[in-house]
Amino acid sequence: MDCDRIERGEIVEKYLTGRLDRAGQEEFEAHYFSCSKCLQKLQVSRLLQEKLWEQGEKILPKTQKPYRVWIKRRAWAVSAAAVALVVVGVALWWQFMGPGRAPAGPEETPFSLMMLARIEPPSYIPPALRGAEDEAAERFRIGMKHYQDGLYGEAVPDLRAAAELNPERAGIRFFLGICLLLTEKTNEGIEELRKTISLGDSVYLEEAHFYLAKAYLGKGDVGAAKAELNWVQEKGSNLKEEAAQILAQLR
Amino acid sequence: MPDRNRERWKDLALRLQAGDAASESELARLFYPHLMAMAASRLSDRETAREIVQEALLAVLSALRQGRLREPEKLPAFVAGTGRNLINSHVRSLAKRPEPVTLGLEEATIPDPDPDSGELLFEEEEKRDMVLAVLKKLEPADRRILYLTLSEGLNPREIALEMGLKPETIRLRKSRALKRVRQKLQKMTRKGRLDY
Repeated sequence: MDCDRIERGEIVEKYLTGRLDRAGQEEFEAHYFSCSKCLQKLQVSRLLQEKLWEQGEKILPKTQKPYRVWIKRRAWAVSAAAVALVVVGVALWWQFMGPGRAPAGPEETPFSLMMLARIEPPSYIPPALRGAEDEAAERFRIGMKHYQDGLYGEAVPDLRAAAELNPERAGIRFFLGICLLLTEKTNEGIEELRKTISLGDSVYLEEAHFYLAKAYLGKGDVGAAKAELNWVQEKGSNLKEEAAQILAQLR
Repeated sequence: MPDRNRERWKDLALRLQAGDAASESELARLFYPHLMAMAASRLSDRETAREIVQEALLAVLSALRQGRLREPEKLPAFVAGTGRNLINSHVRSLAKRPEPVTLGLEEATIPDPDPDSGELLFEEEEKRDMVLAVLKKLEPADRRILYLTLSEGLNPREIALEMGLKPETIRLRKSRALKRVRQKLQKMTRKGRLDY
């Protein structure tokens, strides 16, 4: 880990908000124990974080309260308005559309689902030893360098090329799927994760089901997400607990 | 790691191992800011963080005196590992016991860190006020981005969704705002007073 990667990968912020995995935390700690510049970045960000916690929403202009705070404060009024809207909506639907007709436009995903759909990029540790690599492996390595730097959009072309050169390698498909999800190409991301799963047993199988569930949640498809989470709960290992927690919240 | 640094750590570790009292101050001065940054980042209670840092420095000294550091040139990694282990065991103990733990430290055996060290950034109330002043000087949108990033723990993509901007824009604004805060703080620290 170097200063440039820390900056581009937003490592300080991830470290302070618990979004770095254990290996990432240790790597960053090893770095800032020998780098005064990054230590200072961490110190200032931590001070800011403390001040922001202390000040809370007071620090924000009145018109710019976070959405969640806004919802909490006005939950009562919103609930009443929502009930009224639903009543009016049902009446209008009944009058103009009638039962059995398809809705006119795409539905917006509720904010709570969006929060459950949050994706933390899975960690990737490159192999310590590299033998002779074919073109697919080379493109994968280049793509994953961007991935490690948090440049998911830039990783896509190389990962795509690697997937075309070696369509049977689950790792390529999996990280391509993740990068697509992280750059809001959800449908394409879903497609790649499905392909990862269709390749059968691999070290990426459980994660592919898990992130596929997240992608479905992002699209508001709770049923499909539940099916994937149930798979993780029944057949997975590392992500079992997290899948159970999301399932509990969905219930 | 440059050779010069390796030699420096090796020299310090060997002096500590030999029981040199002056080197203990040097150890505290050099690593207190790093350990405090680690503990403060991982624990919400500053007082506990301070206690754990003291305990970590004691543990490092004790290990060095017993010759448990095999590669003296890797002293920073050893200090980081010791701090991490103590923080992790504290977090585990919190999960088991609802009452706060008493660490029973003899703080007097650890010299105070150098007042010029980065610890000042954490310790002085004046600096905290400076941070607030700088925050208030930022553009409202930038303040909001920092709030959502550091307080709410959202990533640029999620903030973009909430603010109706592109994730790249959020990244750029966040990085610019953080840089501005750092520069202002540095400027104020050098002058020793608020410069506005």
